[in-house]
Amino acid sequence: MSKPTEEAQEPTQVKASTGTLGWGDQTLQDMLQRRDKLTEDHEHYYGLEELQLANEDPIQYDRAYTAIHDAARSARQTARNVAASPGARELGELLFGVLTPEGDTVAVSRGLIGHQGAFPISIQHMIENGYEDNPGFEEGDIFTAFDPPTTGTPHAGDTYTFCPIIYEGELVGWAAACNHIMETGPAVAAAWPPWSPNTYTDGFLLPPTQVGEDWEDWEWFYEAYRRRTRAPVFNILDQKMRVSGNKMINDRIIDIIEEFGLEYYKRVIREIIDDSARAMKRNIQDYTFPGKSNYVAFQSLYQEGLAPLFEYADRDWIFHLAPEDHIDTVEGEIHIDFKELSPADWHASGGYEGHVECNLWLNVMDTVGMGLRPNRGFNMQIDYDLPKGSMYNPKNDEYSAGNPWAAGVPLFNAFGAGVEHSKFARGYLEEAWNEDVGWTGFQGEIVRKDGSREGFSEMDLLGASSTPASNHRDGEPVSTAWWNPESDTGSAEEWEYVLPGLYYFSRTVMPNYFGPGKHHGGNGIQIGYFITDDIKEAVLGKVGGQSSEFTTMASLPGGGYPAPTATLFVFRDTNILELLDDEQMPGGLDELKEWIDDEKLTFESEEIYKEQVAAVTLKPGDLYFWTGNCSGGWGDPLEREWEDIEHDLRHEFVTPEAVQRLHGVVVEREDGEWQMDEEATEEKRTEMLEQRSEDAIEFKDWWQDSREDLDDLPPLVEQTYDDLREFSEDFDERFSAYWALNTETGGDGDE
Amino acid sequence: MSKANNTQIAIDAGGTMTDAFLVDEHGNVSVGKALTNKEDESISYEEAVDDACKYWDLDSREVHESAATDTYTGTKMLNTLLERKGNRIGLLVTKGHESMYYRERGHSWLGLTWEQILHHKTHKHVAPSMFELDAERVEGITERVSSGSYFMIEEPGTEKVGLNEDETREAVHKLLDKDVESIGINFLFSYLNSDHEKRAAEIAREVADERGDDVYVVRSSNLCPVMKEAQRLKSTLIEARTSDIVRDHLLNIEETAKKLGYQHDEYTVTSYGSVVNVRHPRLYETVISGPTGGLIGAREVGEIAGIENIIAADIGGTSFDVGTIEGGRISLTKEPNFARNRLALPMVDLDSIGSGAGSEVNVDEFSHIELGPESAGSDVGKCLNHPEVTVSDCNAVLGYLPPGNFLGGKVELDLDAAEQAVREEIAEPLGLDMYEAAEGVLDILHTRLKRHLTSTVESKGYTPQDFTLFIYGGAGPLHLHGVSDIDFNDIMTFPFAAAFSAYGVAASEHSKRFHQGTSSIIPPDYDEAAADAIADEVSEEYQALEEQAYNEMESEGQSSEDLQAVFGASMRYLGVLEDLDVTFTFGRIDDAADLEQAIGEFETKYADIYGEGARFPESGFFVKEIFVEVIGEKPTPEQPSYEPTSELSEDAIKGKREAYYDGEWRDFTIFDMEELRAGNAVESPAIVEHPMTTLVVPPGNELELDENRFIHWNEED
Repeated sequence: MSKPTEEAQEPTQVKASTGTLGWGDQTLQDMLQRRDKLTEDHEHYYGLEELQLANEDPIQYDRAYTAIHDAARSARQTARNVAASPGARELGELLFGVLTPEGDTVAVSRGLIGHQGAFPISIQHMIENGYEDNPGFEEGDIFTAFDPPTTGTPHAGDTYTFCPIIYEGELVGWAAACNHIMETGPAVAAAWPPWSPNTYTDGFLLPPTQVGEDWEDWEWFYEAYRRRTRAPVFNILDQKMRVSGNKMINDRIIDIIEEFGLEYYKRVIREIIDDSARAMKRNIQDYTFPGKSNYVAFQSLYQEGLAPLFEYADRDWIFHLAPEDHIDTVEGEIHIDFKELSPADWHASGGYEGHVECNLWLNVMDTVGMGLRPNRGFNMQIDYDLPKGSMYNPKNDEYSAGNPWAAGVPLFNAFGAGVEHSKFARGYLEEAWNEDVGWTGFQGEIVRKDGSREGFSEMDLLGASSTPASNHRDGEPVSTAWWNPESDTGSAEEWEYVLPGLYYFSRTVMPNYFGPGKHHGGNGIQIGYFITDDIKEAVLGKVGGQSSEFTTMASLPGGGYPAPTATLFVFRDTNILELLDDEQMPGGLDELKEWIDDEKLTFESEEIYKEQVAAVTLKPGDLYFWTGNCSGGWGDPLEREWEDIEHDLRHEFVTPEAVQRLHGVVVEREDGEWQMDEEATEEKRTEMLEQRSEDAIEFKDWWQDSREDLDDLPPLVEQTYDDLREFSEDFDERFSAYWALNTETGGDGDE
Repeated sequence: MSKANNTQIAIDAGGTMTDAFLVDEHGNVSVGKALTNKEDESISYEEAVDDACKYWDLDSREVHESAATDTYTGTKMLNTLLERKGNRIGLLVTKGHESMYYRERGHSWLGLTWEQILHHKTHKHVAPSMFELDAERVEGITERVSSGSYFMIEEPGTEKVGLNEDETREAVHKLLDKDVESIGINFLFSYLNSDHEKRAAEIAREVADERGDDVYVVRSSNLCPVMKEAQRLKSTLIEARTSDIVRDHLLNIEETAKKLGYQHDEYTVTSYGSVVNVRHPRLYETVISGPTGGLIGAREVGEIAGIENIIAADIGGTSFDVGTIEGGRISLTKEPNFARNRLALPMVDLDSIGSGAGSEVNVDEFSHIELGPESAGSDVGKCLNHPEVTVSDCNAVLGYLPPGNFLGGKVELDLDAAEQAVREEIAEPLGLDMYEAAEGVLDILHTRLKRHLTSTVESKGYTPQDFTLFIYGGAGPLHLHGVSDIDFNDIMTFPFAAAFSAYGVAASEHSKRFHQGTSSIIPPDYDEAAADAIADEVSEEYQALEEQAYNEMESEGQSSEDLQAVFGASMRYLGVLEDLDVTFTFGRIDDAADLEQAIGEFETKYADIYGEGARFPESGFFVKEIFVEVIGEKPTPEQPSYEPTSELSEDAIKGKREAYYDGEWRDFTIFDMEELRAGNAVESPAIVEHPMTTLVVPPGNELELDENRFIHWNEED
C-alpha cells in the first residue's frame, strides 16, 4: 500500500477531545484552507497524488461510490413526490447531492445536475462567516439559501437546502438539495424577473440561513414565503421536499460510514472527486484538438422607459457574450477567458460566480464529460478568468441576478461551440454538434375576479428544447434540456390546473421554425393561450435565452444558420371568445395569420416582442402566443437530401413553400405521397447558386463598406461597443486592430 | 403422475421458446417447451403442452378436457409494435396539439442508460416510427374542456369550446381517405368530461358506415380515463394499433385449446398482475405481462405462508427486478415506461436495474468496473457462446456453477475460457489475482442488488424488518448469499425458483382494475356541508365505476355473487403534483365520515413515506383519481404440504466440490434440490443444485425447508 503524501495525511485525533466540528482537531475553516492549499500545491484534489483506495482495492472503492451515488439518486426519486411545483414534479427540475465538509460534490442524483458546481459557494460562505460557532451545525439542522452572491444559486428561483451530516461529533459532509421554485416575489411576478434594476427588486432573497432543526422547518420560514412570494403553497411544499430528501441522504450516509468505516469514508469521498478530475483530463486529451477558439453570442435587453425611477438603469443593452476557449491537450486542461464579456450593469441579466460554475459544469458534462462520474472533479480541469466588473462578476453585490440564465445559456453555447469544434477537428465527426440550445420561460400572476393573485412559472419550454443539428443528423424537436438531461415539458393537463383562466389553443411543433442547413436544427414550439372571463386579468412575461432582436449565436461550428429568435405575439381585445362560442379555434400561428388576413380574427391592437418581456397585462378576450426553442442548422441548406426533406414534409416540420425557398427543392404530391420534381429542383438549385454568386462580394469590399458603417451605427450598437471598449482593453485593442481604426485610411482590408 | 384434475395450463410464448406449465390441483407442476412458431403460434402452443403432458404420462386431450383454466401470454403485442405490423392509425386530437405523437413530453431519453441520458446527443423520439404515424394522419379538432383548476374557478370538465362536428366529420373523411384501419381519439381533459370524445367516436363510426369502411375506433376516455394527455395518447395508440390483432390471435389459441377439449374461455395476463378473459375490452393492459408472473406468484405464496409484506426479487440473466407486496396487494405504478414510451397503465411496480448473472463486465480506461447493461442472455458468457466476459464467467471461475452439470447437464461450460477471460479482461487491468477479481465482481453486483433492495423498501417508508424477501428467477438462488446480510424479517427462496413466474401465472386471480380521473378538491377549511357534498359526488363516481366493473365481469362469465370489490383513490395535498394511491380499509367513500377516514388514511401513508414534516393539511386535499378492483372466482392450485422430517434422503447429497469464498478455497457439500424434503436442514458450506438453478450457501448460513418445501435462509448460530 503506497502512502499518501505527507501533506495530504489527515489529522486523526479523537474527536471528543477537540470540540470542533472539523476532522481531528481542525475547524471547518481549517479544512477549507487545507483543501485549497493541498489542491493548489499538488494539482490534485486535497493533494491526492495517488488514489490509494482505488488502487489498493478497486472493488471496495467501486462499491463505496455506488453506495454514495445511490444515496443521492434514491433521495431524488422518493422526495420529488412531495414537490408541489410542476417544475420539480413534472419536469424533474431538482437535484440532490452528497457533499464533502467543504461543500464539494461527491455524487449527485439525476436532475438539475449543473447546480452541483455551485453548491460549494453556500457552504464556503457559511464556514467563512463563522456559522460553525453561531448558529452551529447539528444533525437535523436545515439551512436554506437563495441569495446569489452569498449562496451560489444562479438566481433566487434556484433554491438550495443543505443539512449537515454529523458522525460521532464530526461534520462528515452535507446533504444538498436544489429545485426551481414557482415564484420568488420580485417587483414583477416571476421566478426569473427580466426587469430588476438591482438586487433590491429581485424579490425574496435569503443568504444561507438556518430555517429549521430536527428535520422540521420553523414556522417563520413558511410565513416568510407566504408574505414575500406569490406562490407560497408551492414554495412551502418544495421546501418540504428538499428537507425530506436530505434526511434520506443523511440516514444513508450514516449507514455507509458504518459499513465502510469512518476513515475509509473520509478518504474515499476525496478520491472520488480527484478520480473524476483525472478522468476529465484524459477525456480532454483524447477527444479534443488543441488551440484557441472564439465564438460569440449576442442578446438584447430593452429596459428604457421601464425604470424611470432608476435613472442609472433606464436604458437598453446588447450583451456581448464572448468566451475564448484555450484547449491544452498536453495537460488535459481547458482555460476560458471571459475578458471580452460585457460589463456588469443595472439589469437582471447579470449574475455571480455560482451561475458561471453551474453553467460551465453543464456544458462540460456533454462536451467532454462523456462516461465520467459527475462531481466536483469535472470543473478542476477547467479554469477561467472572469474579470471583476464583468456581468457575471460585478464590482459589488448590489447588482441584480434575477435572470442570469437568459444571457448565460448563449454565453456557454459559445464556449461549447469552441469545444465541439475542437472535437470535430480531432475527427470525432459524429460527436460534434452545433451547440445552439435555447430555452424560453413564461411566468407571471393570475388576478382572480375577487382580486386575489397567484404567481406561477410555466416551464413548458424550459422542460425540453430542441437539439441542434450535427453533421449527420437533424436536431429533434422537444428533445433536450441542457440543465436537466431527462427533458420533460410536463403535461398540459397539469399546467392548466395552475393557470386558471388561461387555456391552450396551441402547443405544438411549429413548421419552418429552425436554423436551416444540410441538417436543420430541431423545430421550435408554438404555444398559445386564450384568456377567458373566468378571471379578471393575467400579468404575463416572457424570458429566455433566445429572446432577442437577433439570433443569439452569431455563427456555428457546422456552418448552418443559427436558431431564429423566440417571439411573443399579443393580440388585445379580440373576438376570440365569440369565435370559440361558434366552435372555431385557431390551431397555430399560420392559422392565426390566415384568420387575421381574412378579418375573421379581429383585434384592437397587436404587439410583437422578440425581446424578453417583464410583464404585459392581459384581459379576457386577449390572446397570448409565444414561440421558442428551435436550434441551429449544420451545413449548406442546398445540400439537403431528399429523404430528409420527405421526412419533414410528412411530419409537417416544413411546408412545401419553405422546402423550395430554403433548399431549392420543388415538390409535388402524387397519390398522397410527396415527390421531388428532379428537373425543376436541379433548375432551382442552379438558379439559387448563381444568385449566391451574384450576391457575393469580396471580403475586402465587405470590410471596407462595414468600416464606413462604423460611423453610422445604430445608437444601441454604438453604445454596446463603447461600453465594451471602455471596460475591456483587450476588446478595444482587437476591435481597433480589426477595423484598422488607428490608421488614417484603414488600409484595404487585405490584412 | 397426475390425474389431471382441475389442471391449470399456463403458456408463456417467448420470441424463441414457448413454455407450457401445467399445475394440478395439488400443486404438482410439469414444464414443457417448444420452439415458438412465429407463423402460427397455435402450433407451438400444442407442441409445448404436449411436451409438458409427457412428464405426467397423459395426453394433451386428457389435460385439456379436465383443465380449469388455460392462460396464454406472449409477445404478440410487443412484436406487432416492434415489427411495424399493426393497424394503420389515424388520430383525432384537440386542435393545436397535433404534434403530441412526436414531441411526447420531451421523453426522447426514455430507455437509455444514465450515461447516454447525460449525453444529450443520444436522445431521439421513437414513437413516430414505432406507430408509423405522421402528421398527415393526425387531425386537430376544435373543442376544449377545462380542469376547473386548483383555484376552483369553475366546475371540473366544463365545456369551454363546443365540439365542432362538421370539422370532425371532415377530419374522419380525410383519415379514411388515407386508408386508416383504426382511429384513436384523445382530447384534453376528456377524463373529466368525455362528451366530446364520445360524440367524435359516434361521428367516426357514422362516417365509416356511410362510406362502407371498416374502422376500429378507440377513445382515450373509454380506455384510460386518467390525467396526463401524452401518456393517454400512447395507451390509445397501442390499443388502436394492436388490440384487435392481438385479440384475434388469442381467440385463435382459444379455438385450438377448445379443439383439444378445453371447455372454458381463454385467459391472458394483465400488466397489473391478474388474468382476464381474452375478450377484455382494453387489451393494451396486457402489453407488459412478462414480469408480472413473479409478483403474482409471490403474492400467492405469501398467502399460503401467511406473509403480507413481501419484497420480491427476480434475478435473471439481464436484469434485477424488484417489486413489493404490501398488505397482500401487489404495488403498482401508473405511468410505466414501455419500449421507450410512457403509458397511462396500472402496472406492477417493478424497479429494474440492468445487472444480472449474464451482465457483461467491463473495466474501462479509468479502472472503473461496469456491469451491464449489455448481457449475454442465454449465451451465458465466455464459458459458453458469448464474446464478452460476464458475471456468469466469474461464478464459473469461483466454482459456484458446475461446468459439467449446468442446466442439469444439458450444457457444458468451458471453464478454461472463463478463467482466461476473467484473468485477462478483469484481473490484470485491475492488478488483482483472478479469484480476487471474480469475487470482487460479485461483490460489486451484490452491492448494487442490496442498494436496490433497500432503496425500494425505504422509498416506500418501510424498513427491511417490515418485509420478507423472496428471491427467485434462474439466478436468484445463485446470488441470494450476496444480499442475505440485509436485515429482512425472513429470506426465502423456492425449489421452483426458476419457474416462479409461470407458477404465478397459473396461480393468478381473475381480477380487473377500473380507474377514473376526477377532480375533487377538498379545501382546508371544509365544513360538514362541504364534506357531505364532496362525499356525495365521489360516491356517485364510485357507484358508476363499480357498476361498470360488475357489468364487464359478468359479461365475461363471472357471477356477481362471486365478485369482491376493493376501493381506493389517488390523492394529493392540494398543490402537490404527485399522487399517492391509497387502498381504503373501509370500502368506498359514501358519506362524510368515509371521506374523513379516506383523508386520514392518505395522511398516514404520506407521512410514513415522506416524514411527518412533509404533511401539509393546511393546503387542502385533491382526489385526482378513484379506482375499483374487482376480483372474481378462479381456482388456484394448492401448494402441497408435507410431514416435516429432519432426515435427509439417501440421494440428497451428491458429493463435494471446492469453491472459492471470502479469499480462500473451501469444500462445499453438493446437494440435490429435488431430493430435499420438508423439514430438512442444509448446513454450510453447501451448493444445492437443481436442473434449472443453483443455490449457494457460504459459511455462516443454513437452509431450512418448511412443510411446503419453501426454503428459509438463516444465519447459523
